[in-house]
Amino acid sequence: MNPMKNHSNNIPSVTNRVLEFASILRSYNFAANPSSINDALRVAAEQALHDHHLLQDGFRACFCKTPEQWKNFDKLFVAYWKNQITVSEETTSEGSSSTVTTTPQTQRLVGFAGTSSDEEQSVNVYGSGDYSALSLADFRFVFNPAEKQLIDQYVDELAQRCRRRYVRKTRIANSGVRVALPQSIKRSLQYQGAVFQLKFHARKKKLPSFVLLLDISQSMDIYARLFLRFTRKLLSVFESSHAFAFNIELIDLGRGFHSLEESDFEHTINTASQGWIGGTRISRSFETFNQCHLNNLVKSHTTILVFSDGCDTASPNDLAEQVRIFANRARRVIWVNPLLGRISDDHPDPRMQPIKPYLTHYMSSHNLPSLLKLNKVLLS
Amino acid sequence: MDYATTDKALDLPGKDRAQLAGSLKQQGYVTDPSLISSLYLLEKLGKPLLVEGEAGVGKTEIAKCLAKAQGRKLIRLQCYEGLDAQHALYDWDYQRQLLAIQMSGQMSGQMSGQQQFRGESAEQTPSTSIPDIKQALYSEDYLLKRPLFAAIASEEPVVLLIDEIDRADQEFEALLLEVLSDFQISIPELGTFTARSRPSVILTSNGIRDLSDALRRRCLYHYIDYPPSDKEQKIIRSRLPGIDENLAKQVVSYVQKLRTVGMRKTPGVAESIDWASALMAIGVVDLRAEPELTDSTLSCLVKTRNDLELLKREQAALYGNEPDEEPQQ
Repeated sequence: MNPMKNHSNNIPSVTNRVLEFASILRSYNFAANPSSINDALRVAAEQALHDHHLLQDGFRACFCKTPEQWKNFDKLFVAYWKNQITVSEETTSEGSSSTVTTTPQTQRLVGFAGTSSDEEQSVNVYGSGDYSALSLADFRFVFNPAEKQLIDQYVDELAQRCRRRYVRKTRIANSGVRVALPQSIKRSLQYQGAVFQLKFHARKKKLPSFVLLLDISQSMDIYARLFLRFTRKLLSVFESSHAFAFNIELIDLGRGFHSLEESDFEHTINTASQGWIGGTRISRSFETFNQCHLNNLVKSHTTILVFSDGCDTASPNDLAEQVRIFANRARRVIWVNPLLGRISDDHPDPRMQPIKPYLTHYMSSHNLPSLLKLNKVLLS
Repeated sequence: MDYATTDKALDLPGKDRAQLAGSLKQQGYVTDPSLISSLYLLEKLGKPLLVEGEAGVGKTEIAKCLAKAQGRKLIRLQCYEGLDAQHALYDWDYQRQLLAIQMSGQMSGQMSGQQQFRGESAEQTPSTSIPDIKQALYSEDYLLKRPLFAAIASEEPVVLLIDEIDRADQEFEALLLEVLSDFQISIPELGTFTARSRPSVILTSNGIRDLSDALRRRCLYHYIDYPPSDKEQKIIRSRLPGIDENLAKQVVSYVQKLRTVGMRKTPGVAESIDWASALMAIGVVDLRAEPELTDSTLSCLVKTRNDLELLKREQAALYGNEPDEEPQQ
């Protein structure tokens, strides 16, 4: 069974979800072998989709093999299969361990990993620190709160580096430009005609304008928060940027969204979330965007940044048509698909094939190096 | 194949599950949804179920009650150090084989005498030839079916309990792998026997020794912890229907506290039931009212001298602050 085939519609396939859950369990030293996965799929087929508790009990019997795993399973299950969690870390007398508590209003936004304890790092990553290990890790495998915080810091640093780069570029561009002779001569009068201070023509500052379209559906929520954090920092220098989120409909996050607090974003995302398996309507959201905002927001110098996996309930051709409309108007369209990191070049995603011709760049942002690459593309 | 879209997904197991829960309840086993799920999957997936937990929490009882609930025969294999294939799988009945050889020798002697009398040649009596005798001796007639083989060979589905697998040697675990994964047993003299009806296999372990990954991988898993207070009361009331409500509460409260004082042999649910039963037998209805009688029955709970001394030290704390003593408002 090919997991990628199941993305023909945007409902996350149960098979894919089980496979992903198994890979997460494996990172927590669970013996999620093919036999267990097969059993879990049978459990899912027979009892899963109707009752979370049955699914949880069934998966627990399939994936757990030791008392420790039995005790830890529930929090991992809740973290992955239910939306409402927050993660808090408690330190026990025996060592540090993370516990997950559920709260009704907070959505799960980050994936899992938990492979970067000091001991494991020293064993698995020879001569490397946490940074090198984490920087290469897919964001969906970063779950430990401490690691999450570290990744957030790295993302901030990355965005700030990009900002510095932009400011430097602007300064360089502004220096050494044309001399404004009348003003320079006027200034030289006080020095009896000796030219001490040159006056330059001020360059008309033309900031690039960005429109961000962010997919906050269930399949993307692992990456959405980090991507928001990154773009918020990055676009803080571009005041004329405008952001939208979409799940089943388009939500306006407003102009200059970088000034908003992260909690405001999370609130918006939580409000927009519809159940634990929803259906993303990208095409319809883009249609709304094209009808209501295209003329006002998208100019010839505007860059449209789409952050989505392209899993749409509508056909790919419908989506391609909507992309074509705003691509014709914008300077460039950059489509960021974090799932691209998992797709090999030999088997390209068939859903994206009709859309690709209208994209200037189609890239991933599943880890820090790919975000760095995105940085360069944005400022190019 | 996407299981989410198959017709199988519509096959709701709620009825079967409720039926299983009801049957176990009838047998006096107090379950929880998690255990029902594990037992349901044991039947549905046809995989063995490894049940781990402390001693006396009711692991063995699961298999007994499941067998009764399903009206199946229970075949039990009690594991111990040194358990081998001859005691777990099959053995040849050497005494009978010896008798058969002797009888065959005598019969052939008699027959050869008769043949000589009749003037017939020896080739005309093939049943007494050595290959035939050998074939007859290594047939199912002389095979002693030990628990594992009996479960495989049974025409009717049975419940096979492999109790305290952690007490057996690692070599025996390896032996089990073929049985548990393929439900078949290979006998060099006879060939391979495959289960006619797949048995429901339950393995129990107290965690004395760490089991191999290969064995764990072949099993579904369930862990049973000490039950919470309310569940333990239910269990006691289920096992001892005539017990006084207050006594059951006091017993459970006492045992629950006892589990927290760090005894070497922590009392399980089985000990709670034994103790409650002993208290009922001597007519105690209030632990604090008759402390001497109560103390005389503590041997049901305490199994070592150290624990007994510990109990004496902690006695006051154990009797005090019963949960049923709520301040009157």
